[in-house]
Amino acid sequence: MEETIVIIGGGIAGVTTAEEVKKHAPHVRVVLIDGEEEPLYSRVLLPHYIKEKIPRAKVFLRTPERYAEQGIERVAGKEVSKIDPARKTVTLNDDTHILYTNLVLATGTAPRPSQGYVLQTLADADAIVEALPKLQEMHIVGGGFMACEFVNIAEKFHLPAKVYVRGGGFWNTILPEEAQQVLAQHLQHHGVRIHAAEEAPTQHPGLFYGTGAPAQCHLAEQAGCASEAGGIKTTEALATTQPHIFAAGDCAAAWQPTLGRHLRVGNWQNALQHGRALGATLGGAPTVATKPTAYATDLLGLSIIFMGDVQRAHATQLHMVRNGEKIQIYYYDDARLIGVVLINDPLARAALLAALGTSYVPT
Amino acid sequence: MLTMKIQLTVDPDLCIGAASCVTTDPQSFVMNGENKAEVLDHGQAPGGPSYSRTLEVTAEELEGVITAAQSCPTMAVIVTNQETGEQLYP
Repeated sequence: MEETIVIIGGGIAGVTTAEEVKKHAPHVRVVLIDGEEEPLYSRVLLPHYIKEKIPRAKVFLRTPERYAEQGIERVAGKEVSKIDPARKTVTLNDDTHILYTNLVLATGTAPRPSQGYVLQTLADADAIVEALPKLQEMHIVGGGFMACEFVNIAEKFHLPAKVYVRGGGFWNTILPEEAQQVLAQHLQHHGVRIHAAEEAPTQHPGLFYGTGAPAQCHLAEQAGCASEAGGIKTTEALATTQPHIFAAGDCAAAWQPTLGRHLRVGNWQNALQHGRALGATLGGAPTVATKPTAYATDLLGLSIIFMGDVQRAHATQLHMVRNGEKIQIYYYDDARLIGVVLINDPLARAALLAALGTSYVPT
Repeated sequence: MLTMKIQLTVDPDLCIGAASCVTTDPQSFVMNGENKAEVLDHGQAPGGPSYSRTLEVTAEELEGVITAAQSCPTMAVIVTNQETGEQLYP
């Protein structure tokens, strides 16, 4: 059998892995199994599309032809029903069997089922675009990135909005209470009030859910891969606990040697970094993704940047510094700086990311 | 060493401040006070900050710029061959 890399998942981690393998080892067969029919699109651009900043066609990052041009066999619109690690075989929902030399799980995340609108896929965005002209108001359940996007969408379309948050404020597992209060006041200034999650309607035409998207690990579990930290447990090199099975992107909880723990990171930069590193490794050039990643968002004009590991549960100490409207929050694990959040202070990013990068150098 | 001229542009309306371009090619991109990426010329900003510049790049430097452009989640980075007008990315 010719060397074959099978990749499950057609998002940025999966596609980048496929392309990097081909770049390093053009002779290797690469099969990409994508549950969606549409070619790769940017989930990050979906709010832009909903807010009419770009036409729908502009969300796509690849054309259907681009895969074949790079020698990647894309299987579109099919799901994997089973992985057989002993036979190194993947079975699709149409009973097709594909043998692999190495298997990559880039299965991403999925929002929890709900009665309202979610925003994960292009189909979700299409449904929201269709619904918005008919809505009188938005009821937004959640206090994280998606809820933030929904608040921005409500403002764009001049829809009154209420936000229902568990635990008091936005990003309550990340931000200290004082910072949550700053965001709450900012929202209130724009006419958006935060309510307790228990007060959220259970049915309403304008109900939007941003309550988190767990990693999709069911295939990994069925294949016998261990899980950790809410994701598929991997080494630094993204190898799972099953031989010849790797994981990349939002679903992977990779070992972080300088943190001494596995960490699942759900942002674009991390998914891209994983794809590049794993693709190079599987293409014969072993590479480890070591740089801390960052993600930025905008809450009604307030910039918020998250860098490194910013889970409060992982930090032994938080230190918040306010300088007028600018806020810097430092997350320490013992003496090591492991994460930073910047509110309204984007110019501080470069130096602090470099400081985090220093913390992350493997010893 | 052979070089070519490119027009390197960041569309600030599309830029969301992910800074993947800066991470990939810090000689060509830097974040500004509005959390948008601006374009540098080999690490410098001649004439002040700008979202668009004409750069003279080697083949290797062009590869770095294209890789940075490809890393942008919103395709806010546009690379054009200044001599032929051909859009190299996206």
